[in-house]
Amino acid sequence: MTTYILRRFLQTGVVVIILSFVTFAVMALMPGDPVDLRASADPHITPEDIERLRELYGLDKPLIIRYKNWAMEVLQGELGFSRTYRIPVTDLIGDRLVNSVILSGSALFVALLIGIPLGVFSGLKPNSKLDYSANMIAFAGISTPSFFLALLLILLFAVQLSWFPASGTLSPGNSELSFFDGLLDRLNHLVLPMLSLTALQMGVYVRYSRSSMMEAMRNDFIRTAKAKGMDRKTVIWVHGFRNALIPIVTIVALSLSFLFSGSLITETVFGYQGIGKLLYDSIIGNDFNVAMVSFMITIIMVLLMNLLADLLYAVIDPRISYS
Amino acid sequence: MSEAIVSVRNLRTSFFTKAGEVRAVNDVSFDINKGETLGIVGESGCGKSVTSYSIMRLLDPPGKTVGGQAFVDGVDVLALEEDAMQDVRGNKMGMIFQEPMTALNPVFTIGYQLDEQIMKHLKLSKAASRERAIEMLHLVGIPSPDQRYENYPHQLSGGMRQRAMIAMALSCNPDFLIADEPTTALDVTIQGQILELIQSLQARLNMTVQFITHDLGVISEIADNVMVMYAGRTVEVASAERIFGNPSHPYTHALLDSIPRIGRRMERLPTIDGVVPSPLNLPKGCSFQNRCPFATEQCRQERPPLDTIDPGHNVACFHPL
Repeated sequence: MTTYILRRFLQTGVVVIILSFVTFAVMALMPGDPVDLRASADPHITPEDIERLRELYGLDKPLIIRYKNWAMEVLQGELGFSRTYRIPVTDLIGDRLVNSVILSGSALFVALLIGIPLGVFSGLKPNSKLDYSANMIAFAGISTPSFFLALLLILLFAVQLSWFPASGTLSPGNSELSFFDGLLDRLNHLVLPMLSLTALQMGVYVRYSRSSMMEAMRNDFIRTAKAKGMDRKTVIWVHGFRNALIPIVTIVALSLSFLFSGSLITETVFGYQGIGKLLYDSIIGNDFNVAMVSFMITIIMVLLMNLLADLLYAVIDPRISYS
Repeated sequence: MSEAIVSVRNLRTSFFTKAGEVRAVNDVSFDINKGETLGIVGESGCGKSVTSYSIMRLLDPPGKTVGGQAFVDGVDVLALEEDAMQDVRGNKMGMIFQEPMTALNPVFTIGYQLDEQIMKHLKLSKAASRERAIEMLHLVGIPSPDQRYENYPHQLSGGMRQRAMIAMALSCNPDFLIADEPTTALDVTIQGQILELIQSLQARLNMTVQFITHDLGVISEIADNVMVMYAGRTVEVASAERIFGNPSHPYTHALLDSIPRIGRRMERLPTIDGVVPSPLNLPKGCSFQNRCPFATEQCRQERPPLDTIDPGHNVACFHPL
C-alpha cells in the first residue's frame, strides 16, 4: 500500500512537470510579452530600453531556459508578482482560492444531497413517475449551458425580484459589518452562482446513482439477501446501496478537484472573485505569473483527486487492494 | 409412508409480458415427505426454477403466482403477509442457488453475511452468532472456518463459496431446503463433493430437500422421487428407481435416451426432435405432441390428465410406455 502511494506520487510529480512545461510553452505562444505591454503603454520608451528590459527579465533567452528559471523560482515558493494587481501572487491567490472552495463546495454539497437520493430512489423504481421527473430534471440540468442558466437566474432573482445581488462576492464595506451581517452578505452573494452550479452537477449525480443503484439491485446477491429473509430496507440499503456506492464515491472524489479550480464561466458571469475568474482575468490581461499559478493549482488538484479516488476505491471495495 | 411436510397444490405462476401472459408454471402439484428429496428435472424454461422461486416468493414482476397453495409444515406460505414470509425465508426454508460466484455479496465478509441471518432469525447475540456461523462453516467442510469467517467472497474458490452458501442456507435449521441447480456452475469433481455434502447434511439434519437440475446423472444420485416437467406442467412423477428403470412418459423416455452411456456404442446420440414450444403459443392438447413419436389424434385435441398408473407413479399421457 505504502509503495503504491509512493509510486503514484512519483508518477504524479512527473506528470506535473510535463504539464507545467506544456502550459508554460502555450502561454509563451500568446502574442505580446510583458515588455511589449509596457512599451505600448509608455510613449517615451525607446527600442534600446525595450532590448535592455528584455535582457533584464531574461525574456531574450530560449523557452527552455525561461522555463527552467521560472520552475526554480516556483519550487522555492517564489510565485512572482501579478502584473495587473501589482501584489505578490501568493497574496492574491489565497483569498480567491477560499472563495472558490466556498462556492464550489456548497454547490457540490447541495448537488450530492439532492442528486444521490433522487437517483437512488428513481433507480429503485425505474420508469415510475418519480423516475421520469428525476430524469427530466437531470437532463435539463446537464443540457442547459451554465452561462444561459446564470443569466436566467440573474434576470429572475436579481433584476425582477431583487432577492439576491446580481454579481460580486461581498458588498462594498463588508469588513465594517458585524460578523453575522458580514456572513449574511456573503451568503446572499453566494446563492445565485451556487444554484447555477448545483443545477449543472446535480443531473450528473442523479444519472450516476440511478444507474449504479439499478445495476446493484440486479445482482444475484440481492436475491440471496431476500432468500435469507432480510427485510426490504436491509436488502436495499445494506446490500444494494453499499454496492451502488462504489462507483458513486469514485465519481465524487474525481469531482472534488473542481473545488480548487473554480468554475470559470459561472464565476465570470456572476463577477464572483474565485480562482476561475482570476484565471480568466489573468489570461485576458496577460498576467503571466497569476495564470501559471492558477493552472498549476488546477493540474495538481486534478491529479491528487484522481489518486484519492483510486485510494478510496480500495477502501470501499474489498476486492481491490494495492498491496 | 411418512407424512408430507411440503405440499404444493395447483401452483400457477405467470409472467405478464408485453406479448401476453406466459404461463411458466401451470397447475403443478407435488408432495415431499419429511427427510426425502424430490428432484425436479426438465429442460431450460420448463418452469422448474420458477416453481422454486414461487414457493420462496422471490419472483420479481412481471412474474406473479396467480393461484395454488404451498404448504410448508402445515402453513400455506403463498397466503402469508410479506412480513410473516420474511420470518419464514432463511429460517424454516433455505435456498441455494446456481451461481456461487455471484450469489454472495462481494463487499461483506462471509461472517457478516452469515451473522446477519442468524441474528435475525435465531435472535442470537453477535458473539453467539459468530460461534454458530463458524460451527456451520465447519459443518459444511470449510477448512479453518474461523479464518474463512473473516474472508470476503472473492478470497474463496467457487466450491468453497457454494459451501458457504449452503452453510448460510442451513444456519437457522430449516425444515426445507430448495437447491436450484447448485452444482451446475461447478466443475465435475467439485460437483460430486457438493452433492455428497448435501446428502450427508440432509441425513444428519433430517431435512427435506427440493433439488432442481437438468442433469439426470445428478438426480439419480440424490433424489428419492423425481418430477419431470415440460412446458410448465408435470408430465411424470415417480420414485427415482421407477423413473430410471421404467419411464412411462415419452418425454422422460426420450430424455433418458439422450444421456450418453459408457459401453453403449452408437453412431449418434439420440436427441429429441424439434424444440420446446414457445410458452406464448403452446400446441393444443398435449404440450409434447409436436415432438412425440407416439402422438395420436387424441393427443392433438385433448390434454392428458396426470393419471396414476401405479401407486406413486403418475403420468400425464394417453399412451404411457
